[in-house]
Amino acid sequence: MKRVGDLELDQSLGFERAELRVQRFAWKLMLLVIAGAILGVFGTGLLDQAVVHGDGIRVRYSRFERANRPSSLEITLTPESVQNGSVSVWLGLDYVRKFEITSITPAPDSAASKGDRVTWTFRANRNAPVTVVFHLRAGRGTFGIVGARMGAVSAGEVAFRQFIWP
Amino acid sequence: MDSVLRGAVVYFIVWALFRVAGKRTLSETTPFDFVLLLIIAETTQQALLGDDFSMTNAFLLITTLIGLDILLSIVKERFPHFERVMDGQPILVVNNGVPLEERMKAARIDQSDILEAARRLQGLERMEQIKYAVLEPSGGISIIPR
Repeated sequence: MKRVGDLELDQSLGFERAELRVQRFAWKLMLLVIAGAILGVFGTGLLDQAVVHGDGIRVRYSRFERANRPSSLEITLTPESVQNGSVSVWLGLDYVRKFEITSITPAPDSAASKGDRVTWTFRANRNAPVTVVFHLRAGRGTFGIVGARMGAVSAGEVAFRQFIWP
Repeated sequence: MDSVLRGAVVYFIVWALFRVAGKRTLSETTPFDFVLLLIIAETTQQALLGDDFSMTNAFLLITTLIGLDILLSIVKERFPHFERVMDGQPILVVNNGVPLEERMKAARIDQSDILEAARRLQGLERMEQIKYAVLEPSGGISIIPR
């Protein structure tokens, strides 16, 4: 055991100084993480919300999602996309595989999977824009960048990317 | 952002409740206090997590709680008045062997608590052997013998 004066003390001031340096660096990292979280880098915040426009379609989505957390995807279609009292919205199958769709507002009349798309059909009228909200939850094992493709049968399609935090 | 807000709100609510509960609350953990702590932790967890069970949420909440603790420790070091508000202050409860009954009653301690601390910390036997006893902000009792 080392001695400091009469005291038996296993003290290393060099180690203490190094530890303090690491601590101060970690505090700065923590501050960065908290600031990033407030801005929305980990979801919910200024940097998080995004909108992508296509021909007759607008999609509001989150740039940053978290696995196993409820989220939503809002699709708005122009009145011109309504045909014979209904609109059909589709999502790429790859995207549907990564997200559990917990509910859809309004409730669709029908759903069908064909090729690399899943399509939902909703009743609508031609007088107003049509908004469909998908309530989602990213799968537990999902992590990293996920590409999404979606559109409406009578309108254009859009593509965007999201980052999924574990 | 919601994780940081939830963490900060829960931190200050828990602080405020324990602050108004007084110094002696949970200063020495009895088996019931331990069970109470577990219940508080379980109840707080619901408010903290909401319906977000992601690892990121847990990481952000822990970072926020520890970050707030570090921040407040720095502020308390620089502003002693703020430290008094956050943690409370030490109070003299025995002066030259004389128990200050009014202060002891307000702090919910009695002579047996002081004698127990005197026996445990200093091996003292009687009240008159105590020069000063101080109720610390942590809720513990410090004994200075004559």
